[in-house]
Amino acid sequence: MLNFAILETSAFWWAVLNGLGVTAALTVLSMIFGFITGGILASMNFYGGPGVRMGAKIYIFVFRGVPLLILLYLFYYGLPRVTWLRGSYFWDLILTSPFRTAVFVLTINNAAYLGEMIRGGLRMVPAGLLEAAAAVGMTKTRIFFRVHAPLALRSILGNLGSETIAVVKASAITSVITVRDLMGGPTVLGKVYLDPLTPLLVVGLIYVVIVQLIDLVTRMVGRRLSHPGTVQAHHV
Amino acid sequence: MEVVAPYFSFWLKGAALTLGLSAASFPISAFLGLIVAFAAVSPSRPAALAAAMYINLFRGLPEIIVIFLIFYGSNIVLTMLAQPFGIQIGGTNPAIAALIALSIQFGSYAAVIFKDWMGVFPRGYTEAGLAIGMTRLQIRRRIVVPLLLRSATPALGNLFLVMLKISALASLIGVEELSRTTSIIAGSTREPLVCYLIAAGMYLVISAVSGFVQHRFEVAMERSI
Repeated sequence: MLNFAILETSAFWWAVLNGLGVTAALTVLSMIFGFITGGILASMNFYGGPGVRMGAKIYIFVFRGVPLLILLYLFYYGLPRVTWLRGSYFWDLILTSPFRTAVFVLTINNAAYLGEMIRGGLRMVPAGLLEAAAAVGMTKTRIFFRVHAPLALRSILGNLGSETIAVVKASAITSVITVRDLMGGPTVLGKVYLDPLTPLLVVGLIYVVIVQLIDLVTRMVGRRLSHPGTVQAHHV
Repeated sequence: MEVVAPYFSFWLKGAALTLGLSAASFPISAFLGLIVAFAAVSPSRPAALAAAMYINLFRGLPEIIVIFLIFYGSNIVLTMLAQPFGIQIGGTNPAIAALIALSIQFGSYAAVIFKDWMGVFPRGYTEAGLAIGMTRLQIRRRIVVPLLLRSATPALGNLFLVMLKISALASLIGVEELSRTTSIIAGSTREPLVCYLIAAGMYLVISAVSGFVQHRFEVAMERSI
């Protein structure tokens, strides 16, 4: 019942290695795209009028409230049924591949969380600093990119680390739409070898190590960037 | 829409199980979290180490892996245990496996929440308890735990909302909660888009209602101070 024969096959370890790459790609891509989308959502929330703010709020409510599994099913099984989408740019770019569907769904999901986080960061920058920037004659866009955004970014750095960890863990769910990530690749082989447990144990251990590494990096970067008396101090 | 209408009672059953699964496993998680948090801050090194290991292990393990591990693992363990006696066991009940997996995983998340609040717990309160001659256990049960529960309520409420969504993964081992019933209905009506949209709406309603109840609860707690 419980033999570890699968560990002696090279196919298994190739699947693990391959899966590591796919999981890394899923995480990095959906963090980058999610951060851009989240930044737009946060700006909508922070600078927009009531209508725009409402739009951002609804987006965040919907994509934080629906389970990732349902979103994946919706885009992978549901959307291809919409015939008028066929042949569109969105169809060709996203829906033709499980990997790209996974990146897309992780991105829209992640953007909702990052949007709230970035908004919190923008709010945490003391108004006095922005007024000082305006007083020395900086334009609005300049204040945003040179003062507001960098300071906000610094104050949410620790949270970005835990968000990355959340995305790494969430990306394991994309295996249900046949993505061969760190979870998907090795466990599919487990079915071939009639041994579902061993791949799960190996892969689970690797996830634990990855998450510890991300934690370590976040702490190191955080220590380097936090100077006493800066915005970080407000982050209690 | 007309195609899926006959399935609504089936759907509601699924939604009820989603809510029931989380409602059953959340108190276990909170209790487990409390014990682990006390272990984590205890002066006993082995206890603190075990707590740290538990917290870090489940901080890194994706929920989907924990659910599969508990489900397949318990099946194999049960079969091995039953073999010498010549008994055939039908396999673990998926709902129970999901309940255990969710409880253990979210127990670690709850432990982190409690541990954080213990870090800012005013020393004066426990000292006051000592001064009037309470034992350590009494101080914990009658001072620390109630205050901890009260201050952690918002974070615990958020954790419950997370659990509601994560419990969708129980569908992958065959628990007929909201996601699983949706997949079944999507398969038999061949209307996946409509079905998953309806499921998404149902999850939003469940989250919104839970969020509202949580808000009322928090307000009531504020008042009771």
